[in-house]
Amino acid sequence: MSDTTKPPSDARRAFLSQLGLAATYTGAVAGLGALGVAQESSAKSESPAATESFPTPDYDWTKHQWAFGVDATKCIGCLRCVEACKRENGVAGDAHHFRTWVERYVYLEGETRARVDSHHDPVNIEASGSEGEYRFANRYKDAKVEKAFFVPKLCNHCTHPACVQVCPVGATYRTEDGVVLIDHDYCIGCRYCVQACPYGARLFNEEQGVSDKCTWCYHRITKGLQPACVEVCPVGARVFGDMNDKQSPISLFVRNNRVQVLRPESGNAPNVFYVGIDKEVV
Amino acid sequence: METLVHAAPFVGYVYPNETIIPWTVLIVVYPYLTGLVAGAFTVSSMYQVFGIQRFKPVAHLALLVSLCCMLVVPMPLLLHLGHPERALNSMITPHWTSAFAVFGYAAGFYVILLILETWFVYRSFIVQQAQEGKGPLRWFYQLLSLGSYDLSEKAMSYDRKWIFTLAVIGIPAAHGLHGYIGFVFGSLKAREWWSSDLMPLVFLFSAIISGTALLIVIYVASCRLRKVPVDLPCLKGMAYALWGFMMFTLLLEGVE
Repeated sequence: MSDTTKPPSDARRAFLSQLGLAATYTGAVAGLGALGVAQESSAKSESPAATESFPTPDYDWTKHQWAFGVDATKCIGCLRCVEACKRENGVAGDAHHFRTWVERYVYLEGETRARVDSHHDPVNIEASGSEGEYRFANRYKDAKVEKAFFVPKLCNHCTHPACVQVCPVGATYRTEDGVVLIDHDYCIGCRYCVQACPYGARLFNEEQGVSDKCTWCYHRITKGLQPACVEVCPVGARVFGDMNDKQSPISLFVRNNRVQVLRPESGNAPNVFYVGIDKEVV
Repeated sequence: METLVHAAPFVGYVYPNETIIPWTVLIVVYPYLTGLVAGAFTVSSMYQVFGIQRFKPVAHLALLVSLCCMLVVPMPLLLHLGHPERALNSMITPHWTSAFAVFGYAAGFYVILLILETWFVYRSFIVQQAQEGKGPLRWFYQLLSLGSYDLSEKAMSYDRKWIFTLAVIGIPAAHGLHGYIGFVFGSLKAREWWSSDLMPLVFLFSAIISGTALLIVIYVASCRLRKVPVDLPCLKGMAYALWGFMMFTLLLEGVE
């Protein structure tokens, strides 16, 4: 670098002080803005899923057939989807209640079986510092990793759902547009459905005394929005859309890829389609 | 809320939601109680239906034990529910594909059957107490007799006919009630360790074991309390039955 391109030290000092001033102003403005946002969100105590605008008026469920796609080759394990889901749907903020979660599969050199963990693993909780924050600990940094990938999981909204079959009161049902929902005002809380799901997708909401599960953010999709987890995914590993629309992201995803589903032998006929998962993924 | 994370190193990967056991001790207590019901009823039926005379001393007691256990059977179930006040929904709007939808009807039917049979079995005792007892207890037995004081031979043979019929219906009812709990567990394909066709049978025979064992304990204790000598052939008969059924259950477990 030649001397001519270097600003004189005085000018540099002035520039830096201006920069500092500007940063202070920006910080103050941003801080005030953030305060406003924080106040707004704290004033709204219930999750968006429980707001007045749902059920959506004028929504025709015979006109859609929703489906979900997961491209495991894209997932980076950032867990923003998990966080977004928890906030959007008011899911308990601990390491044992998830409507969606991400699994990590790691094949070490010389081992024939994958090592599997998820963010609820004690090692990963220790790395994040609390049960309410989700992170994958860098636990394999000293090991020789042969192959590794992440697999996002959620309710498969099966065509023949075992959970719906076992509900003794019919509180859980499959909608016309292909979403499996629970009527929280009718569920008796027997947890038979939690036991019946082969994917571990159902959870029990101790606070309300009812079963709970992923709804594909039904309160959002009926308004034309994407599910929260799809919305926040920074790499497009999650795909959602209407199978009735041949140009929708999910239709293209299923058409242009060799997709597979989890545990097809269970006979549930899942509607979450995966790309890039291995034989060990169940 | 019990979590299973500490067991992870031994069981391999567990789905995050499955680190909480959905069915805890109450769901263990419930089939156990139903087992006692079915087991005690089996012993009673051995005398009432199959006429095995050595079980005569415990036949009535067995029926009473069965009824007492049956009355508390729904308790652990109700306590387990997230919304016990909605429990009757399963009878008002039963979802027939669920193995659990039948429970309300099956249990209700069986309770009525047990109450009827116990009443017929104890009727002569009730009438006797209603006529010879004293004070409030006498009023209680008068109420229990439902105004029927006829103890003639004709009336008693009519009673015996009813007892026999109810006991005959009761065998499939009691065993069905308990076998179906085995089915509730065994039909869950998602749970590899439960999903087995033998589950109803395993449940049934272990029920007979626990019911008979409970009856042995109560019979011996009641003999001590009443200061009556224990009827040894009856006790031995129950012990043999216990042994036989236990061997068969072990065989089932082995086959499983």
